[in-house]
Amino acid sequence: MLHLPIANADVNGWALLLLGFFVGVLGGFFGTGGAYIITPSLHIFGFPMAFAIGTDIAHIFGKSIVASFKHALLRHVDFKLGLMMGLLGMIGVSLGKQAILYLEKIGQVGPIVRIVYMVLLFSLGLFMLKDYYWYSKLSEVQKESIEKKPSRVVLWIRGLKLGPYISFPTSGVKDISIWIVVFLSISVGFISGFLGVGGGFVRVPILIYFLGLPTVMAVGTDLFAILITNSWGTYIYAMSGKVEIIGALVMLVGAAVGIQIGSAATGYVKGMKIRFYFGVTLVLAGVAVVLRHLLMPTLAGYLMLSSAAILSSLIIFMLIRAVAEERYRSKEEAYDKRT
Amino acid sequence: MFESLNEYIVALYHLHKAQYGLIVVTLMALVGISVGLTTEVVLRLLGIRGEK
Repeated sequence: MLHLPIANADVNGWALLLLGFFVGVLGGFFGTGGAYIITPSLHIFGFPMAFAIGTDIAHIFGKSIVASFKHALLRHVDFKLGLMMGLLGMIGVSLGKQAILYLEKIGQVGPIVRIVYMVLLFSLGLFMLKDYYWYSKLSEVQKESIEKKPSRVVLWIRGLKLGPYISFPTSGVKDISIWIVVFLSISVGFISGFLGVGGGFVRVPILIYFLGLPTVMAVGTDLFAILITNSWGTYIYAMSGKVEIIGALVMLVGAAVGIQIGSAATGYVKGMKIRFYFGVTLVLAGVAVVLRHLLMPTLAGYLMLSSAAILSSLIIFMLIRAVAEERYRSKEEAYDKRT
Repeated sequence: MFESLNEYIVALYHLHKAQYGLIVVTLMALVGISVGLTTEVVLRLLGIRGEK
């Protein structure tokens, strides 16, 4: 058992390490910080809620450095777009916090936040699952071209005549109205501040479905944006005494390993498959919020914890299988060349 | 060892909150980078580069 001096709580160090690892794998694969899994889990482990949020933010900051570096190596990060989204997102976070303060004043903060959270998780999750279902019906030839073809929404956004314009050559986004980027970044920040989460689960779908980024590029760019916003978040939460440094470090060790594995897996798994698993995670997170709303927070926490463990094991399995297949193919090619 | 570390953390937090904030940020960055780099080396040794 680890004694955490600032939160004054005792937790199992191995459980923290494993939790960090599982959420790290999911984070590297989906481009999310995983606050929607970690915060309730830490609460179950005995962290007071405010410490759970602060400790979670601190460890997400550490692992997002690793993830951004790994995705940058894989050329999955658009630094210009990530920087813009991260910095502009901070304005949105402040606006979101103001909205929360107002709702707190009129005594409506709890139910409204939970309802917005549920609507967002279910609508995004179900939309991504529907998107994957539609994709699975296509022929192999159509599947190859579909991810490269921009959707109608993306074409409409790219065609908007509202200058000045900005290009993101790394992501293949050319001459898009700067106001679209500003609006989307502030909106994601607003949701972040309003719900008290990193915002990755909203930013990744926005980058895919509104700006037309390839899935892996959206994942990498989002992790870089999380790095920027969470560096400030860690500092202010630590200053207010809400970061349990030992707990955050133990989780970070597990997460830094997990996030490397999750990031490496994106190189082997098709973008649409990533969207499918992301959709499943969002729907499960939505169910957990419903359970919390029905006053079953422990059950909700266990649901998120077990689904994180199952999904991350599945990702590791997919990675091992893809690497084994690749090795088998290269051995076969070498054999063919010799004969 | 953990007890003295815990005492040191609490003392540092009560002494200078801004400094404690900076230490947390720096420590998270350093631990994250070092564990991440070690994992990267191990993954590369295992032939998992993630580039396809």
